[in-house]
Amino acid sequence: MLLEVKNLKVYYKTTKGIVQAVDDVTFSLEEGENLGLVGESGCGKTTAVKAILRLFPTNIAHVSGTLEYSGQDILQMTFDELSRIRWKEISMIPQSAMNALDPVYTIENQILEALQAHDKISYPEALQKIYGLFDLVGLEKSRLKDYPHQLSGGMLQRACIAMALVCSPKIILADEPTTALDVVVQDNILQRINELHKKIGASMVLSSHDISVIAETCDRVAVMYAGQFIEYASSRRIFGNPFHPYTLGLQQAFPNIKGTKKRLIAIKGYPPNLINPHRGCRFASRCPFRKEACVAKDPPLVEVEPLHFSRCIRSDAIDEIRRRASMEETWEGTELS
Amino acid sequence: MLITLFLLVTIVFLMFRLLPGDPLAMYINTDMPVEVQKTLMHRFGLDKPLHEQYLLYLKNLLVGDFGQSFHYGEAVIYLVAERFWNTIILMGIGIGLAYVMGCILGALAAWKRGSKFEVISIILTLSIRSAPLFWIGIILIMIFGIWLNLLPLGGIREAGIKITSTFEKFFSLDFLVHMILPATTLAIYYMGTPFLIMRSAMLEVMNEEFIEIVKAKGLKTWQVIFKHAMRNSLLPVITMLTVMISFVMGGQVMLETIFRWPGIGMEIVSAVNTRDYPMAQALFIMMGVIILIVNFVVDLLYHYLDPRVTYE
Amino acid sequence: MAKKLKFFFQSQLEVFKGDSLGLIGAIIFVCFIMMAILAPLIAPYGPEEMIYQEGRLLRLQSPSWHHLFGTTQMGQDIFSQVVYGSRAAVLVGILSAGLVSIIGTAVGLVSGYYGGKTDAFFMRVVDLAYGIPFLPFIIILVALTGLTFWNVVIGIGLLLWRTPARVIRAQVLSLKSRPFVEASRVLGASNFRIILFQIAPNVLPLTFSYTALAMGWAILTEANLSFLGYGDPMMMSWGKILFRVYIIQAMTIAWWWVLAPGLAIILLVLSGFFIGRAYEKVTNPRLKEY
Repeated sequence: MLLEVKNLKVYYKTTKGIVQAVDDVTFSLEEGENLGLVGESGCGKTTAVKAILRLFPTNIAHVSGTLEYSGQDILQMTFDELSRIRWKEISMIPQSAMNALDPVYTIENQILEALQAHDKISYPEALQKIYGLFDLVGLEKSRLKDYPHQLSGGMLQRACIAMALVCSPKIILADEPTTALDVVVQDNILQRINELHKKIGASMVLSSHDISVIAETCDRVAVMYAGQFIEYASSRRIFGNPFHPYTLGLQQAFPNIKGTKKRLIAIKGYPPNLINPHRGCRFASRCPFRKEACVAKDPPLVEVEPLHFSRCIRSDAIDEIRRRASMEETWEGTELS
Repeated sequence: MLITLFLLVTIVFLMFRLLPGDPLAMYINTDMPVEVQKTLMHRFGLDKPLHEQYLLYLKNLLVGDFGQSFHYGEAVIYLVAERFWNTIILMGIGIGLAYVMGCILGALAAWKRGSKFEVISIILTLSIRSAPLFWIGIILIMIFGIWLNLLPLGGIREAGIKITSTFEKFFSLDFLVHMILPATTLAIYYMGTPFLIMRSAMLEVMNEEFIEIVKAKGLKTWQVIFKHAMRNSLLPVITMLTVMISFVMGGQVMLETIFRWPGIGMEIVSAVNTRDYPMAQALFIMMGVIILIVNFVVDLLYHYLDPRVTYE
Repeated sequence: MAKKLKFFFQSQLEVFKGDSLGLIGAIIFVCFIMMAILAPLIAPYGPEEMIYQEGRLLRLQSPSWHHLFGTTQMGQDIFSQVVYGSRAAVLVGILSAGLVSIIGTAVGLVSGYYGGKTDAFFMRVVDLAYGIPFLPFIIILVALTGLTFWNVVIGIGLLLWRTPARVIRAQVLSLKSRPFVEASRVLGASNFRIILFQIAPNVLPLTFSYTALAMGWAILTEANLSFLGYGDPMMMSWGKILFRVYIIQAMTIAWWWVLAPGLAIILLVLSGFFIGRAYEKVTNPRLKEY
């Protein structure tokens, strides 16, 4: 077990109140495995991913739970221990490479900085290593002496990937790595990420609101909604055999090359306010399959199949739910069944 | 920039000639015998029409002829040159200290957002900035010069000491000891502006994504603050100097008066008091020149600090 | 019209609600205005009145219940001097600040909105204004034209407008391209109308901010001038009090004589800075604390 996260809670304060961004999340990551976090904006996936490196915003209000990396709890470590783990064991590919690099230092300076913060390595050796990585990501060596503003978005993202790999980490976090890029470059970058992490033998935790990105790269998938995991299973089971109405709704909202051509169905409504969230299932207000029991108590994560968890109390009616989910009318009305 | 210098010089010319006050007294001391007055008037072209006077004035300036001081009876240019260095050294060290201290404190205040340290440092620096510079100087003189009797009350060196070289002039212990209070006054007083600017610039920079990545790389806290956040916040702080320098010259006037520091600040007050207009004129232009030089230096620094800006 | 005024005043109060320092500043400022207006009622003695006790001049008395800030070398009550001195401070402060912000806002609006050659011209003038050393300029001006406080106000007004002009111009530039201004233009509103009714109201908080700051600078300038001996001989001012204690080098013994006027200056100028910061937060909400 490489990474084990238990009951992670991350709340932060705003002028309007305390936002429960990540509310009791539990998952684990094995060696060589890729985990994908998928969900809409504001569901808490970015907060959860950054929490792994103990990166919290300045208005943090509350953090609890355990985040164990190779047996040590990251949340309890001293700052020095944390500094040693950061980047060397767990690194990150940022969402927007354009903003992820310091504009006043060269690319070389910043990648070197990452290396030299952790290993005593001579400049020529370090340079060789970086050259090797640049070859892997497809960047010219001359680009090292440039400043970030002199590179295009795609180039910057590749430089960031190289930087994330430079210390040969065991886990690579990728927070919406393709969101800021255009579609063609997206594909390119995704491919590279896939090849490269396999090459150095790292595991990945990837977050995205784009379900196709997750489907392409991840072994296990967690669907997040309103700060909670609402479904958690292997990639194959989640896409082939979804249990949660939200997951079903997501599937309907994305185009499918195979199968009959049909209209995309959007899930009506908005995610709930995470300041003092109400009791009961958080998806209930938008769920066409809700019952009174759904809002009465907080639904727990239930193992509906081996290693497949869903936070829905109606999983016994799953066949019926699946059938109705593929019909447009289900998502139109406010059916209480 | 040269245009500004030209305009400045022109404004000085107009100020001294067009404002109410005896035009003759501008250059010619009425105590002098009549023939001497006539000769001087002719020499300075005061018997000519205004536009001709103006050209003569410019011509004289170009060769460095600022006329003769009434008070000292010597060529103004040499008198100004002596005092120029005294002012520059004091000002340079004082403002330099102000900036270094202001930047570091501002960075820390931004880092410790919302802490008592931040609130106290803001109120403290604002309060100091709200007092007149000379008052801060007087208070320091009272504490360190009079009550504790640690430091000299003023002047640039002990009276009666013989100076043998330029090195001794500016590097002797005596000189440095005399410089402590005035330089500290300058530093404490002007610290507020770089402090506030650095703090607000840092607050913005700290929210940028690259700072988070730098933290994620496992760098030590001081590296995050100083190597990355502060370095990116330096630009607005440095450019502020161009705005501040106009006020700093005025501050120098007050400072040198209090500490009896023989620089161009103290001299301009005495020149105006004794109606020594050639001196006043020259000193004023000198101050304008210093402002221009500082602007130029800031411009260079700006290009060096921000790689996104290219040279013209 | 009355409704608009009411709304205006209410929105000003809003500015101070969130900012405790700003509120303190506003209160202090109002106190000083009251002090200036009611000076004869508050001060127990005249500003130059020499006080005798048992036939002898009450020289250099340290603070007591009778003389809250002590007395001067000439037996004058320093507390009364400070109270009367607030008149010069408030007068020079408000007049100069008004002049500076009117000129500065006008230049900023015109320069920013019209752009082109007008903008280039005004910005060159601003550059020139920054190239002139502020205090020396006023010293020479006042020495040549006479030691009255009006000359001081004019001198300050001639140069300090440079700062609000630049800042407001920047604000106007960003407002100019906003959709609501475009919409007005499409509807056929004249430039004058747009400047006055669309842009100016949005620039107002910045104007107020710089008015408050300018008041602080003006008071400090007046103090500096009085200290050098260039004060208006007809008015008592805080700088003049300090001039007198320094001239006879009495600070070795009369710490109260130095402290009182200094603290008065600090309080009033600080209030200006606090008010200025409160208005600045309206323009730049990121400065707000949670």
